[in-house]
Amino acid sequence: MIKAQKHLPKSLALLKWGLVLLTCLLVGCASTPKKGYKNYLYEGNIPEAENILNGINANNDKLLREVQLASIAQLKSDFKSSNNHLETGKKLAEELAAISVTETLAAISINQRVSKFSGNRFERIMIYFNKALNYIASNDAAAARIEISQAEILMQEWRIGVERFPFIPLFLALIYEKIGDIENSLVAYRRAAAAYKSSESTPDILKKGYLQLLAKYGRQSELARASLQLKAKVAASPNKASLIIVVPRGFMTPMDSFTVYNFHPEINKNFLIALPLYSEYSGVRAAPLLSLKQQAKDSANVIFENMVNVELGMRAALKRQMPAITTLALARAVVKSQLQQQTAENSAASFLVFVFNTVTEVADTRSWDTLPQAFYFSRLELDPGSYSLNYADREPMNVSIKKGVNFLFLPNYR
Amino acid sequence: MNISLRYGQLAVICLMLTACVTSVNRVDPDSDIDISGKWNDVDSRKVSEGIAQELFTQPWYARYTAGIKGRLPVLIIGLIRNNSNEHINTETFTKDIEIAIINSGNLDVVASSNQQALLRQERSGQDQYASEATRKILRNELGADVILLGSINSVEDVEGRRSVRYYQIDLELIDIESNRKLWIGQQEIKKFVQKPRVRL
Repeated sequence: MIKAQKHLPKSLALLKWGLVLLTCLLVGCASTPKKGYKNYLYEGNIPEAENILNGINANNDKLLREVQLASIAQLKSDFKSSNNHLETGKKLAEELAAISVTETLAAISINQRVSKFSGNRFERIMIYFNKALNYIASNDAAAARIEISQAEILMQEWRIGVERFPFIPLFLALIYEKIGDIENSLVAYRRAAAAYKSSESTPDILKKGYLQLLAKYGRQSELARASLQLKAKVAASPNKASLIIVVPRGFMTPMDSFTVYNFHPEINKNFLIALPLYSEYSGVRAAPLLSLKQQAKDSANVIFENMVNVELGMRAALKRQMPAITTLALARAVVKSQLQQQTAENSAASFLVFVFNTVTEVADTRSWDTLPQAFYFSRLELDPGSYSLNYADREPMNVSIKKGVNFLFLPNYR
Repeated sequence: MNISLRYGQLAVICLMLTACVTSVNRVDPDSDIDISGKWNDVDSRKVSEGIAQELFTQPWYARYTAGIKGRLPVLIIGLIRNNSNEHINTETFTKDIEIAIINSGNLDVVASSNQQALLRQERSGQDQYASEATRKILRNELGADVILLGSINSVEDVEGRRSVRYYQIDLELIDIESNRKLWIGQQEIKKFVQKPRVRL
């Protein structure tokens, strides 16, 4: 009897390891369905991806589901429906911005996945950015202006400068230019120029737009100053129209997880924590190949630049969240360890607690994974008129360029 | 001790269950209810009432009516631009102004440009298809004397979860024939909004 008692902890430890392995396998099976919505998206089968997303029970992921469906609607060029989803998502995100007592308690005792998905700051800014793009595509620049202004207000609420999201004032400048509000456009350009840390990191679209606007409206002293600051020069082209092409590319890398199983001397116990992470950054999908041709003229390739690197933005957002996520995971490890300690005398209860603690220890890998990896922008100065646009495997598109600023949004991530 | 603890637990459960149930209460449409702090029906109504009140108490009205003896000035409500940071449906706001002005009985209001296009289409149709007895005469519209143009502007001062929202509504009444500005009115709304830090 005594012998059996002596051997029991050893066999239990073995059983524990077996269970850890089994749990890992089970969790692995659960998180990789046979063919997920992302696979269908990669294949370009948008209706099937939409069907799968609609079939998944949203529960705590209502916000996530709304933004995912918004991306899908955007890919279908259904900009109105996309904005309806984004608006719902925006309201949900606002509600979820306050810290939830019950969800924090659940996150400490079970895991972070049991709390409602509220999105990180980059994802929240992306809601406004995508809404603005949808409005631009629907030819409603005034509404797009409102969305980007609201994103700026949100940054003030977070007490962060525009340097974190410099593409926001830049996009605002372009929208104001489109509306014809030159003064506000210049204000936004100035703020965007200050937000980019160096002239090398400043996108050409900013340099071109800002300097051309100054040249067009005869702001000579500011033009000289800005040319020096941005290390760029432009020739005034008063009779030209501007075409701004926006192309999202690639699909955001899904978040992964890793587990730490270690001995903690302070609690004198082994602890297991699961944390989210992204695989190593290997760049984003290359710029699209697109050419533009005016009647009886040679076609010219459009040169794009990565104005919004979503992949890097999302990774940076997770990095900023990691201290809080890790602290919560460690607190959870302590709580779970205490619970196990309390049931130590009863081997059956202890075993059940161990199983519960192990099975529930999963990282929160939820993220807006239907976002593109990058938003490429290009600005062209053209003669007003009719153009033929060749893009990927699409039929050539006729584009009519009018005087002023014209936007063209081509949502096709593949 | 145990019984009071159980009652306490029961109360917490009841509270949590109550929070899960959707409740609907009918309220007076004129009541002031603010939820998010954004522009809402209350702001629209208050501003339009204020504008209508201010519009007729200013000297331009007496001078103008004296100049066009025997009839009321005819007004058309033009574009009211939304320059604020919120999606404000300017059509509902315009309608509120229209209601307040028509109900005052101090001005004749004609159909807006959008409505005019529809009405003209209808009259053209009548001219072709309606009987002579019921056909409406073309070129018999009531021409507007004055037009009301304006904009909604907003400034938001944010610090963390606290913000001050300031709306400025500028309206201008312009004589259509002479381009003379007869009246400029301004209405302001200021709100202090504090968002919650914690939720259940």
